[in-house]
Amino acid sequence: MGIASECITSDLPLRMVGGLTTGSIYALIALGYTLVYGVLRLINFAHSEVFAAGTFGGLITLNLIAGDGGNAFHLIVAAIPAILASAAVAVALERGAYRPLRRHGASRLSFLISAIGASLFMQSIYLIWRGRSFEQFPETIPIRPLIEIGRVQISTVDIIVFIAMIVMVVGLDFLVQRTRIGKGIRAVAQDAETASMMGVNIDRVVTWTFIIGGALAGVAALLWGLRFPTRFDVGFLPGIKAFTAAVLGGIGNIRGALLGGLTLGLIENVGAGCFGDAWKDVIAFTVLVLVLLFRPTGILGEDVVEGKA
Amino acid sequence: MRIAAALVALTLVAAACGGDDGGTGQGPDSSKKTVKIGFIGDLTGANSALVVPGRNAAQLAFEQANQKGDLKVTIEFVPLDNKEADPSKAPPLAQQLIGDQAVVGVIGPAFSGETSAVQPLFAQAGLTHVTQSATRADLTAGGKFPTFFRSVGGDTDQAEAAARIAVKGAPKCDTVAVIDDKSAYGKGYADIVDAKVKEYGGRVVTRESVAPTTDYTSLVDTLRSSSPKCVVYGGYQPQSSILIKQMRQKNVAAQFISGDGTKSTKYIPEAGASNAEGTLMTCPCLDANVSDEAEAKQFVTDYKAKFNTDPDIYAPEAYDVAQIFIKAIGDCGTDVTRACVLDKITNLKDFKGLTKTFNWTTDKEALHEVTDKGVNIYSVKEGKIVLDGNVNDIVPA
Repeated sequence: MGIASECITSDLPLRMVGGLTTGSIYALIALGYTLVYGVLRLINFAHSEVFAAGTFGGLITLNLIAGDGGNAFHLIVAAIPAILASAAVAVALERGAYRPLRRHGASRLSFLISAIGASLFMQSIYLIWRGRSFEQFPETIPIRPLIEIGRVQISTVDIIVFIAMIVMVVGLDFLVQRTRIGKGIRAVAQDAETASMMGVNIDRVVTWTFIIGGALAGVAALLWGLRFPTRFDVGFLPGIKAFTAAVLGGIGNIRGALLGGLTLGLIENVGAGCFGDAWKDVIAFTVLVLVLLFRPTGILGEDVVEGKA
Repeated sequence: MRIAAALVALTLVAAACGGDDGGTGQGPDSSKKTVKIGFIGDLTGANSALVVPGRNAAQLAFEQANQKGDLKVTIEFVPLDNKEADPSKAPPLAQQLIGDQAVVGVIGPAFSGETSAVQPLFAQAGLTHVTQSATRADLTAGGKFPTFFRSVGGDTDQAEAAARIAVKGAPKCDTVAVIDDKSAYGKGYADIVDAKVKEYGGRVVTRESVAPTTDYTSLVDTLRSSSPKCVVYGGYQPQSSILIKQMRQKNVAAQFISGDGTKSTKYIPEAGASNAEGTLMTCPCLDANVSDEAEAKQFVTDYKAKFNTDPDIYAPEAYDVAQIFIKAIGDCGTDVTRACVLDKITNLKDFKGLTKTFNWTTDKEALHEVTDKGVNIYSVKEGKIVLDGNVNDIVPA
């Protein structure tokens, strides 16, 4: 536990890679929180279960097609059911837990309770379905270090996770800024009532928002499976971290989710080196509190979905 | 539904009676007085995998004794289910046993929390209880409960063994990382390992507490930075599987050592055989399935014949505890009372069981601990957990 200088100077490069890889996954999940918040001003606390659904979709497919050892092709095939599973759960949540409340103009508190209830409900279903044991994904991409420079190790998995995340974020930015669906999302985010009067079908836009957020979580879930196992409660920690990342970067803000995710991953991993692993989460949340003290809307502010970027 | 269940029960009873009548006449002799031995543990909850094998083994021991027929009494086994091992629910079960005068002894409770909850009750009632698996160190401290006996080494003993193996044993680790999972068990184990490694001249280069998670990236990075020769983990499977896998994936080649919390049949499949290979485990338990002793092999055969599965963790220990009660009951002859059983067990000398030879400590610091702690070292060789032997035989203290 060498505090201060050593952990920054000699360990920083060693810890950067792990931080960026974990941070990339936070970023992808954070996008789901941010999109839904941007459109509905709602924190979808059941988003961690959307992520978990993706891990199971990917896992079951890989077990079927890859068996003991797979390759990149299997991974790409498995992305489809992972994305579909997450998107389906996201839409089901919207239909089952949120839309009825929206119809009745329920208070924000009701949405929150509904979200937590839906989350527990989904977790119980996963538990009954898959049991308590951790399940490992078949290896599709070699995880052993590919490049070693000094003590810095970079594996194919690290590279793929990072690139996939960048591609998804750029794709999402394009989707929101340049397409019809994106225009609808931005319109509803800016002023739902006016958008509705202009002929925008709000329910459709909301459904699309959940589908997009879910799909991103599905990609995150598959990337998660490259390194970590899954089980019924797998979504809890990454879900909380991703929510933190979204707030850190500025909730409702796509680029903020990216920045927040990567920042959080790095802070956690480097901080654990400086102060010990037991303090990892404390450091992450301390940084969050500090940022919010000085910038209550997060690093980049709350506005990109609304179209100012 | 209830009627159907009652009918099924009746049919079963009828079938059982019919079996006795038509059998070879080896059933319980009705002319003999019946004494009872209780059992308390989580038989149906989340921890039942650690308790049911012991219940089964004890049941087997008593059935064998009754069948042999040289006791002056018949032993009836009364297992009680303390679901989820909740300490607050153990006292009523204890009262139930205390209230029945035919109960002359109790096996368990299986876990430390429930044990400490019932110790005063049993002490007051003068009812002997011998645990097969409650390992928390302070249960025997202070000599407050002369009716309590522990047939396995406590967590202190296996943690000391882990430090001894790491520093003085074959791994010869001068640098050690000590990790725990923040649980009472894991942290207790790791704290003792930490102290003992230093005492034996090793250097603890990393001391971390990490709550169970799936992502050990930062911990593995810490290990890459401090590069210890040994990593000792105080915690449970599946965390140990996840940790060793992520260590090996990042080329951390340190010798991995853990305690009985890791000694699960799921450890190897969930870690991956190549990652788990070479792992050392300490356990104050005998895995009868991998023992070479004739008695242990006979026990495995009998157990499998009756329960159709291998005797899992703490089965041999519970079998030994049952044998201790059987011996005490035998020595009491026809006058089997709580006082007599307590007296015979307190004065037990050199009783040879499956797992060890039993003698009790008499000092107040740790009263009625088994003197031979029976801490064994297991290792993963060619994808299987094998018994290396007693730690004292591998690395003398």
